[in-house]
Amino acid sequence: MTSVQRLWRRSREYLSLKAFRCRRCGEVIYPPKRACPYCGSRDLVEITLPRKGRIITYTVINVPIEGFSKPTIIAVAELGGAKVMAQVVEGAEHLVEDAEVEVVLGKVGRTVEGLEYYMPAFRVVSGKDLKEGDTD
Amino acid sequence: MRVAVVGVGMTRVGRLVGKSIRDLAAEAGLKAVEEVGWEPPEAIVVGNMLSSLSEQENLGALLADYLGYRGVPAFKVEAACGSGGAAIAVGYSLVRAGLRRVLVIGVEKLTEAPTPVTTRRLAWASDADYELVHGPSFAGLNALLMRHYMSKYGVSREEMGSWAVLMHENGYRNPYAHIRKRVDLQTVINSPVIADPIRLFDACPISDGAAAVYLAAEGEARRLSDTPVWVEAVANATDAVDILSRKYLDRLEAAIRSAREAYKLAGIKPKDVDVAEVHDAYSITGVLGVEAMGFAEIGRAAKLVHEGRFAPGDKPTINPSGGLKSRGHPVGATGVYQVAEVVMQLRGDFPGVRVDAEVGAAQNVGGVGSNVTTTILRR
Repeated sequence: MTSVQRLWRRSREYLSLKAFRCRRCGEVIYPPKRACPYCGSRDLVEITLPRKGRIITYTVINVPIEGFSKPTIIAVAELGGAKVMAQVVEGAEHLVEDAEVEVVLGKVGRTVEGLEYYMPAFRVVSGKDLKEGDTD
Repeated sequence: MRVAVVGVGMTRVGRLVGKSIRDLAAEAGLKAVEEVGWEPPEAIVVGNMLSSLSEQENLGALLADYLGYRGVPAFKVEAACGSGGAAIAVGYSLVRAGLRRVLVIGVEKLTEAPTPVTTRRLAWASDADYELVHGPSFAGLNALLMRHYMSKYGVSREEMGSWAVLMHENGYRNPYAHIRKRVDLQTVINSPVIADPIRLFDACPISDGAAAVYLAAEGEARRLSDTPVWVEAVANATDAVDILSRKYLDRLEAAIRSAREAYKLAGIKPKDVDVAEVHDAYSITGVLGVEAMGFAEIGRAAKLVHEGRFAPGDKPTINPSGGLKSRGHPVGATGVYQVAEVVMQLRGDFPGVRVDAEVGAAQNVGGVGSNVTTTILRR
């Protein structure tokens, strides 16, 4: 379970999907690090990830950890060269590998203080039995 | 300067309600000291992840005093589920640095708290800011890798399920194992889904237990034991705790790096290994672990297990203990169990499935492959 102060501390970067690009090797670095894990360079520039991408892998968790609902659906999607983890909060019935998703704001769980909180989350835009444009 | 294991000890693994952290550590630790004729250690290193569940930190001093070695340098090493292997790495380094006798104890008491509390704490091995905040369980994180692996390499549910069948077949004969029962493939692949595609029988149990190895410098080793087992290499490697910034989701790069370094230090190749204990917290972890050790190409391990490879009689024989799946996974103790089990195989006194072996290996994985220790042992 996370805390209110953790969310407060990171809220700006969570909401803006903050990442870095390495000026030396060009790789996208997410989550943020203090050096490029691929080439070691410290010459990094802050970037904002795009809000659309594709599912790489996902899981439907039937035994969730405390503070989260059953099932908790977690996916990793590729957004502009970064792998980003988030809950799938809309369109989960269309979830398949390679499904297209967009980032929305979703109510994901409760903090240790018992407060509900929102995080960037995925909405499936096109996937199983769903083509883009089918939904509003 | 060579380092040897001259004594081992372990408790049965299980839900051991009647035993606390200090009881478990004493049972395993003092058995190892007894094997060297009660020669006192010069230092004690404790591998442990979640003693906080028992409201007990400061394990080094606690155990040194309780075991009868008040005053001896002692401390805890933590590397999530890889804490035991990390404690071995630190103990080995202390002997290489000049100490003559070091006792390494891995201990874990996971059933002290209600299961939901323990499950939440185990997930603390992930990245709190960028993973845990979204709500994945530890099984869920491994499930992300398992789906990707099965899809990328066309691995069937039956092929993945064969891992658990082999582990239970081996663990059935291990008197120290947590779950001593045979299972068939249908039971595995029809068991309840925990975190799709991980089912109950893809996952290790939540266990209590302790194991110990007594390390000694070369001259001391020959004085204390007629059957020293030589530590040829201990190699630790790390990866990002988050799985997101890794280049590949179909392999554990820290496990690959750790194994390569261990083989190089020991001057051997994967084909020289007779027996190995690999870290199968989930069947996917076991499969990726086998591949990281160089016993199968990436994408092939589950298929090979399904075809009957790595069973007793094959080289290498993998997890004659039953692995984490059947022996159990008292997380901070597991890496020490693995080394103690391989030592017993090389000495010829393991009480379960026996492998005639000259060279053995143990692979202990922390997190989702973020902190890995590979140990190579020789008779």
